[in-house]
Amino acid sequence: MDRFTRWITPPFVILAAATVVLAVTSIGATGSLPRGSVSPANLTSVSPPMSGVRLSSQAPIARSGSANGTGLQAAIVRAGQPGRRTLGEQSGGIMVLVTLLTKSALQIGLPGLATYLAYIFFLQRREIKTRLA
Amino acid sequence: MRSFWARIPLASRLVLDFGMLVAMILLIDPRASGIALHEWVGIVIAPVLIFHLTLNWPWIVQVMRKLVRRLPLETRINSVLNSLLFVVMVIAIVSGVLISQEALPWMGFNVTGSSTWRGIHEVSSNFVLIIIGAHLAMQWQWIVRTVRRVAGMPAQRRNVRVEEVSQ
Repeated sequence: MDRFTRWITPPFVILAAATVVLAVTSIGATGSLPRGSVSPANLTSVSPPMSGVRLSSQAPIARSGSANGTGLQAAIVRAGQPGRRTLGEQSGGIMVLVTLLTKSALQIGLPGLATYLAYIFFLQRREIKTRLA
Repeated sequence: MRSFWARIPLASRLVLDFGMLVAMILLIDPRASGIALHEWVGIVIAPVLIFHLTLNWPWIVQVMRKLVRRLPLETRINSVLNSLLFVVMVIAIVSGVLISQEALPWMGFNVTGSSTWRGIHEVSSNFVLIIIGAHLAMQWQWIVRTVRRVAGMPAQRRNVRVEEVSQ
């Protein structure tokens, strides 16, 4: 395998395959190709990265509870907006870590463990069959 | 024992794979990590995924060529699982981009992601996590072997027959 075939061709093949997957999914789900209107964003709806605060085009954040509007009412208004938090509402680092690790243990670890045990069982059984034969 | 320099590519591959796992863990819960971090990590993981597949390209080509011929069952399962993971991950990443609320507007683009794409993103990302668990499990013996090689530890005696072709 020469250098071109090894390093240049694969990304293009992968991108082509990804495009096919996307097209099939989009047509299957929506009946057309993705039509995300990619246009210059409205400046009033742009928020700085990593802030989690939206200035407009979202439900207004009620200013109750504290000066920066992080009270219960604000939380209710934001219901249904996953991951949306105002400044000052960020949960503690340790809690984030615990949440992510717990969820990863459940959502990645458990299926992984089940697959691993099944795989080892399959290999052992084949080994025994081979020895008996 | 292999020299330190000879072990570097293997070590960097291991670091890349571990980094992808950490990224996937960060992506699990946008409520915990924050939507902006969730979106940026999701966008960054796309080129990393392409690089990961490029690194493993010889194995992919080898398996694709032999797929019609007789292959060990575990290799077939592994290739089907990897293909499924690729498909579901592409769907999860692209649907995530289409419903972006922070990253794309920050880059100057408005995307009008519909509720359909939001649903697709939720379903596909849940499947991604499950399949990643299975993917890790199928590669576990390679991971253990590689960690031992990188660390310069002697190879462990294998009790079960481990297929070389599945790597």
